[in-house]
Amino acid sequence: MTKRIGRVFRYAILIAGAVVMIFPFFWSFMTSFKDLREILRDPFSLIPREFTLKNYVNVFTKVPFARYLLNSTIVALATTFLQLVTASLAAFAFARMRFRGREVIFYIFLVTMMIPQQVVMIPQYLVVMRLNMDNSYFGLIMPHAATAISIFFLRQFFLTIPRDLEDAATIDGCGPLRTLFNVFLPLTKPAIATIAVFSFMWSWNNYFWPLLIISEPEMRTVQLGLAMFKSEGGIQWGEFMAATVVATLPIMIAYFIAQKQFVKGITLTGLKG
Amino acid sequence: MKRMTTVLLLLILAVAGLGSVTLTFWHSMSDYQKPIIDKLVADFNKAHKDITVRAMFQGSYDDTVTKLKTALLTGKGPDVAQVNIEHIQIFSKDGSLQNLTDLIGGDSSLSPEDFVDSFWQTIIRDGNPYALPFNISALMLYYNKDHFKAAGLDPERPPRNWEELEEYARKLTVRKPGDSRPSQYGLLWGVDAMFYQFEPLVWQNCGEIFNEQMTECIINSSEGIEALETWRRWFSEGLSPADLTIDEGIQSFTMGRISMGPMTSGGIRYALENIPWSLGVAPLPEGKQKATTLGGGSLAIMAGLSEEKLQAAWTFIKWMVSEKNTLFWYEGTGYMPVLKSAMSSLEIQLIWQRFPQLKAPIDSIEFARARPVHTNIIEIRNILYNAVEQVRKGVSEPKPAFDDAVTKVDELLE
Amino acid sequence: MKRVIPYIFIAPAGAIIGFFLLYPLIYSFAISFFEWDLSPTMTFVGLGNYAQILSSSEFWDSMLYTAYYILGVLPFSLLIGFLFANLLNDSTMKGIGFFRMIYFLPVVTSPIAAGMGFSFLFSTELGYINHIIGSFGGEYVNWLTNPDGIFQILFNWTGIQLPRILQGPSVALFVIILMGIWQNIGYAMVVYLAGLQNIPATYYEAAALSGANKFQMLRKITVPLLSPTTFFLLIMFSISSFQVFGPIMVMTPDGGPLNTTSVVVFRLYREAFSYYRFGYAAAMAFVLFLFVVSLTAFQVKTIERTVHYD
Repeated sequence: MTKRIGRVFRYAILIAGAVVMIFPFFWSFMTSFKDLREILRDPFSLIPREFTLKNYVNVFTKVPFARYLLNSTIVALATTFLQLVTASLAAFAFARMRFRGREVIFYIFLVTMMIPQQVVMIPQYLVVMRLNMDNSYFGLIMPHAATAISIFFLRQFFLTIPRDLEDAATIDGCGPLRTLFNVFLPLTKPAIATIAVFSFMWSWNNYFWPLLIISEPEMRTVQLGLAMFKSEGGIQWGEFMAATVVATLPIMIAYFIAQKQFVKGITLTGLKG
Repeated sequence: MKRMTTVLLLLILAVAGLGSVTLTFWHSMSDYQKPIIDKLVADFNKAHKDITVRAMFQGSYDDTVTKLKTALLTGKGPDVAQVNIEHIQIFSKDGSLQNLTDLIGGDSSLSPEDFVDSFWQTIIRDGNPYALPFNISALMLYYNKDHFKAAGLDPERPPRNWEELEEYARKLTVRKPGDSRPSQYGLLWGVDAMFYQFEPLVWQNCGEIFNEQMTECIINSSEGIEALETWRRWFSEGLSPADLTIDEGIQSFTMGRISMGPMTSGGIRYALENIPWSLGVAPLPEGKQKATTLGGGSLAIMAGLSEEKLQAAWTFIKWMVSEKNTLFWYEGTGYMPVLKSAMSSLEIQLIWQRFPQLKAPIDSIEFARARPVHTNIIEIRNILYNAVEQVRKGVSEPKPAFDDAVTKVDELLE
Repeated sequence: MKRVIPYIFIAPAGAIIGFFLLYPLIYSFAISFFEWDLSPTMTFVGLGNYAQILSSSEFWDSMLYTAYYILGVLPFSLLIGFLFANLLNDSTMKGIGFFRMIYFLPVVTSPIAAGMGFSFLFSTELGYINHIIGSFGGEYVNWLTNPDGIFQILFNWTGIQLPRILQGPSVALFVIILMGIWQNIGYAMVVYLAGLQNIPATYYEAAALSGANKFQMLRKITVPLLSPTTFFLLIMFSISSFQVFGPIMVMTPDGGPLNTTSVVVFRLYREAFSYYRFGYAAAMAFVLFLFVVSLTAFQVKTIERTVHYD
């Protein structure tokens, strides 16, 4: 009997918590279907009195939002792919190979994890400009094509692969590259999925870097596009919420798809530290 | 025969080579202003077959300054930029903006006298013009005519001075019995982060913020302190709410919770489109004297362009401020037309018929002053803003707050 | 050839990180000894920037606000995450996957989008939070423009005036802390959940047999065994909290009421991009950097000793 009550109690708290987690999304979603005048007149109606798609139409017609989505997608996908490639190679070297300076180089990489973005932004920008990489996918992608955190993460996973598997592969005649591809990567799918999702997410949500190097409207990313709705004469809440929904949807979808693998990945690192 | 063909070919190539010049134009007009500026640019491109201007929105004025600065370091800036009149100094001192003296001198179609005098002054640095005034606004008093009627006030007779302002604000404040917050405030004079709404009060009280040479901050004079004390009173007496952000302030106003407040004239058309009640626009009420602030942006040509581009850019910015276009811009936004001829044209009379609220900014010009500028102006304004905010939130008293601010500002004025 | 292979593997990552992160880092360090407003000339000031920073009351205020943020976000993210992980850790319950998914949503949201959502929610006139307060008969709170410390507000009815540091984060900063916690909970929960599921049930069974109650089991088994997880989360959250920026820019772009949301990173940004004092900003960034590194090192040295590894 007490177990029953206990369970109901649990569900109650969980649901209350879920409501708190979800409410900002729900609220933004509902607001996106309201006309600005209705928002100002009657801000607290949970369901719009006059349901309108005008905000969404405006989002795509006032600015080339579809193009922004495309840009963000290309950049996020490319960045993710490159991060996986560079991280796999480097992590493998750190985890399994012996070479001079291994520890030193690794710690130097680690240290870069703690640098706040703002410190390096201007010199980064100058580098990119001098190479003519501004207003290009290249400029958006390359500086983030490798990150210490992915390398660190993957290395931890690689460290857990039993030596005998590796030895077996070597005996079979696999060089390091082959071993990496045929043995290590398949065994660390959760880690790969995790890096992929985090990297995609980070790239998708990045605002400051595109702000600095993109001045061509056609090359803007989605977060930059969101900022366009902040006009000086008062915020167009309805449109802004609509834009937020459109900007966040792809991430949500990506998350829902890769969820399972992703959760596995995070949890495993949490345990290994 | 062969020679003729060659010469002909060369001639054709030469003419073709004189072909299209492309200019990049950076601006900060977003949302409702953007379609209007886009239309102007499109019209320009249509009317000028050999010049193509590409207009690119860069974000707020501050964002554009950052981008311009970093772009200038690597020689990859735009050809023309909309520079806030406050920021011209930052770029002109490094020689990054084209000095327009020669262009104006060599062009008989345009002279400084064509422009409204106070507007022209906003683009002069070290005695030289560095841009053409383009979107100049004045700080106006917006008020809710419906509220006036409901309170028994004449909606065509806005408050003319500080006494009337306070009197009206009291009448316009609506508080239901038992409520601690009024459901309607008579006034909103100051949202977070806006020093520029306090600024004109100092001038209206015959005070100054800086001395003429811009070497000293003198806001802590008795006039300045007096202005601050009066302003503080508006909050402590509950005439104006003290705790809204810029966006919240505009929202409350739009929602009809606030009856009066200072706003830029550049937002008049936007307000008319989006406000569900009857809007009145009046010059700021006078203190001991009349004064209001001029703000807004100008069009500047970046220095170091090729002769060809320079001429094209000059054609462009001249065109943007020509009478027809400055009036078009005025009607679409509320930023004032910059040419004297526009002010006395027939067209402007017609515009006033269509949008009577647009007239008040023009009436304010005679006592409108450009905001003081300095290379460190952004930081200076933040310091002054912090001082008045501390007073407003009851953390400091006017004199010590201003004395403290003056010490800090004087360091930056070096 | 074989000896070179490791270096070839590291090369791509090394090139990117070296060129786009390390080189700019060194460049920034160099700049920190100059005064530079992005014009073609730089003025050498030696340690002048650093001296100015360390003697600037505004800088130490920023450090205080940053400390408030971290102290506000960290414990609650961990505690609440832990709590929910425990609640979900029952394989007989239906909908674990669903809840896990919902709780993790805030983690993937962009700081800009989330910031806008929260600033709307906490808006003085249009915010739903105030609507809820209003319907209970309370007064609207001016969340994002209120500079009063939250502890001081609680103490106001006693008439005591708390010393500055104890007044607590301003209401505005409090909202930002709430958002930080909101975004972190899901992450902590997911990590703890996995950790919990890794604890063999036999431990609990044995404890139950010796007469331990739920709380004792929690204290003696769960918490110690999860300490590596807690440690990991602590480090992750510390580093990310030091760098919080996006939400502040969105919710209080002017640095907050009486500058009370101007954490160090925000102040740094302002010095660089509003005042064009890049040398000064670079110096500030390095001071912050030193703090982060020291804090992490401290955590590693001291707390790791208490961490229980199998």
